[in-house]
Amino acid sequence: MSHLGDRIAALVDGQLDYPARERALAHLERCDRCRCAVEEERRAKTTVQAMPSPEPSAALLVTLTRNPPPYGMRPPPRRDVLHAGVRQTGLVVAGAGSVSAGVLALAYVLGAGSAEPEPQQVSPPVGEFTSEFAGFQEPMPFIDPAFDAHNVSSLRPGTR
Amino acid sequence: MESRESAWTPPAWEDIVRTHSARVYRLAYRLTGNAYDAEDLTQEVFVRVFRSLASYTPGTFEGWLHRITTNLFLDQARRKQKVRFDALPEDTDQRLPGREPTPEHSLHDQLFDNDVEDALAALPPDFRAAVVLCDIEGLSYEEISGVLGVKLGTVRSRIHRGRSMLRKLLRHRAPRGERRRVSGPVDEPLDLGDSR
Repeated sequence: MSHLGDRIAALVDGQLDYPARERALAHLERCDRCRCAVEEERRAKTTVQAMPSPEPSAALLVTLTRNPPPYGMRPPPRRDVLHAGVRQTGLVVAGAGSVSAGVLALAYVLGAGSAEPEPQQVSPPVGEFTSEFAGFQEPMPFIDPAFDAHNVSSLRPGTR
Repeated sequence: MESRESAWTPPAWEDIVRTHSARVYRLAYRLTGNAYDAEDLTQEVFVRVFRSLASYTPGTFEGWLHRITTNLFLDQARRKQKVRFDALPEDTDQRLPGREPTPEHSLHDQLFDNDVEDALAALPPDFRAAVVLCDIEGLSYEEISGVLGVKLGTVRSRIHRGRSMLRKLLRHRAPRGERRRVSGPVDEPLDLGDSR
């Protein structure tokens, strides 16, 4: 029988089945080298097992208990993000309300305004960008097909 | 009515944390090798636990925790290794700089025998995972094979080679007396007497 090789690990861990274990033990009877190897492997195992068990800190336990919080047993994905967004919006609305409370109250009285904050309009200067680059014909024309290339300058604000 | 009463109710979140956090943290600590990464990994595991509570079944939960903790760790380790190889100069063999240690963490590091911890942390992640699951978590080879998704033979060889590496790394620790005994009779001879 050849040397035990990594069957040594299985022997030390009690993971060899009956016939394989018998064969391995018979081999150990005759083989000093494998007997030494078994002993060394067992010592390595007990060294690892003897390591003290690290305990989680109290702060970690608090964090785990609170976050993620027990909203329910089947949370929708990324609910935490959703909640953060709602909180933030609420904060902004509250802030705006406290600053302009008087104005809004007046608006209510006059019936001239809405209490809903107007959503901020974002209009990227797409046309401007296109027209700015429309003059550069080299090496590739960069022109929105919607524009007439020869009249682009007329679209640029402030050129006339 | 009746079906509502007999329906299984999942345990409270606090109970789940209390029951499993120490176990997950221990595994996370032994896999990552330090308290900071262990805390991060533990939190990540519990986020997964939280998302999967609907499929919580008491009997299979421990095995699932082993699997999720180990695989999250191995994924991270592989990513880090890749970053290390891709982005760092060759002489940067040291650990990447981490957060500053808090007094609590430093105390832990001083109190315990760092030799073995360091040696374990120096093993390649795949080997370390196999050794930790076997020797610290007490899993059978079959269970480890399930956690790591590798064949039994691979588990055996990783554990064996992992322990060989550990032995080499800890060679300086072996007292002379103990070493001499290696060539003599074995303390507990693995039931050799019984088998005859």
